[in-house]
Amino acid sequence: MHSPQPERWQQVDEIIQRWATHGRSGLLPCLLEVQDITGYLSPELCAHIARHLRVPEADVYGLISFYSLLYDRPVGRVVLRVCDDVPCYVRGSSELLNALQEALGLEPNKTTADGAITLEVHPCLGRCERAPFVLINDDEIGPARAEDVLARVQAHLQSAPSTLSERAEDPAATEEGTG
Amino acid sequence: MIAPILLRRVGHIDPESLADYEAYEGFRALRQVLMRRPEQVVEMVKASGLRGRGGALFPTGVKWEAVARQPRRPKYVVCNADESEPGTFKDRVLLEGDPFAVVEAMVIAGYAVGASKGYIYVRGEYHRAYTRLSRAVSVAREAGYLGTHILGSDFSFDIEIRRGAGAYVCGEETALFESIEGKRGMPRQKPPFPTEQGLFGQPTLINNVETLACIPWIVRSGPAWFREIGSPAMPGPKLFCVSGAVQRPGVYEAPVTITLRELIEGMAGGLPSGQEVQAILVGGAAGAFATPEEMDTPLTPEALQAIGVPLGSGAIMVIDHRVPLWEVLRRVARFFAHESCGKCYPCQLGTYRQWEIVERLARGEPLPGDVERLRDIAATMADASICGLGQTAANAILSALEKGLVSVPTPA
Repeated sequence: MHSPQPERWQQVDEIIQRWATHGRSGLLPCLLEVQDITGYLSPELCAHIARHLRVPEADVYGLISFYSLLYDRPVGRVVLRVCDDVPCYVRGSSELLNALQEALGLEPNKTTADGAITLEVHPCLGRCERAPFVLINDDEIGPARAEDVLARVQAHLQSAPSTLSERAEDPAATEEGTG
Repeated sequence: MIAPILLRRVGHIDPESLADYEAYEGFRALRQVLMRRPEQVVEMVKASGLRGRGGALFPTGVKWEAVARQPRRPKYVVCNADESEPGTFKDRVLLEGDPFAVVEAMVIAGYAVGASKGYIYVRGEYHRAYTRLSRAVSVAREAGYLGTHILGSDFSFDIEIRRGAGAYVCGEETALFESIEGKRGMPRQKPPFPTEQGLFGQPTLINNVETLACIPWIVRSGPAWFREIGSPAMPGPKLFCVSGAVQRPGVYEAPVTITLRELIEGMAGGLPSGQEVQAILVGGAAGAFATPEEMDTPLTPEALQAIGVPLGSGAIMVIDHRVPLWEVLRRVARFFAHESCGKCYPCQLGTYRQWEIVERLARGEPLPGDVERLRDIAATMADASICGLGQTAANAILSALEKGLVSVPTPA
């Protein structure tokens, strides 16, 4: 297992310290905020967080497996969430999803081999007035056309910082990360 | 048509500007409230007849009174902003467009029921709402509307914002408490009710975003004014989320006396030319279908009940004649199977069996007895599930069958 870069550990530890005083109640926000930095929650991070918040490690995994926005394995630098619920379906989400799957060569809930893009089919995202709707990380696009989504994905790939875990394997990486 | 009340500021002010909010009546209700006794505020909310806008329609004043009467401290006020019912986006529009209103309403609620701390639990996918609320809370704190000795009074109250993490069931009030407490969001057996034992086991007032947004207006203009809007059983303005096959999908504010037709054909601009209404899914995935013949029904709880449809969260999903309705039902069935938390078996097993049967029916390959089995599962889930998720998971599918909106294939 690789050890993340020191400055990233510092960011993570600041988050953990802030939530540690909340004990168990700080666990979910702590996991979300750490994941904002790291991209996903590695076994190493889970153990670290469990120790500092004084909760059993099993409970950390209990939360990760319950909440769909928490990940215990790497996801793409860009996560594409395509809404396929009733209002979006009525306005063409199936065709949009098919076009995106074809263009990216991805099945739903899979990540491209280079670890760049994850495609998720999502229940109602609550932007029904902009159907069909897609979230690209936290960037909103809707009504979405496949070509616009793909262009925005490319823009994100060029600007998105790589995550802590990837950067840990690449000591030469220097750019600053954001949440 | 009445002038908008809940949407009055949305789109007309800079949602990040406290000065804008103050210029449009903002925090005047709070100043008024702090000069009264807490019981008077509770009385005012009771007299308004306000009922919960999250979907359950519980009388808000009754809830406030129950929490106010609890002697145990601390008490909490929780804003349920975990809006996840399919087809529902009104709370997001309020949070993004008028975040200070929720902050003001929570302080008023805290004063009325004797709470010192509030939580806003925001849906994880609502990034902009979370950012705007976070900013509103810190700006309000700096201005003395939150924190110790609010506006120089003896009352102290503060708000913490929590992000959800992608679980529909956390919109259920006790599951939401579990989530704030750092656990898997699984609903609790009730009673005890949140008013007695809610967040961290303490007396808790939990209200939906839209419900809270009504509060400052009730304080400013009075319960009698509020009762003049809407119907006797459902006073006040209501937000409707119109989506699907309409020209102008969006959030519309209207009294519940408005009909489905007026809402869809009038406010939302009707369907694009050449399209006709096939069915309307009202109240979300947990709702039920209305037929085109039922479009002159007003959206009052009584009139909707007569056609077997709940008002729910105010979602109105319009489905045109080109859409294969079995595909819609597949999505509803899949949704509940995915979102069931797994705590109680009727729901955990029932939602999966229901999904499997709907898939077979949608493919035109049912097994003998599938429809009877579907009804049996629906009755079991409705009777024996511990929370609203399982209790309502079969409603939409059953209503489509009962109203003859889908044809049932015969087993080979």
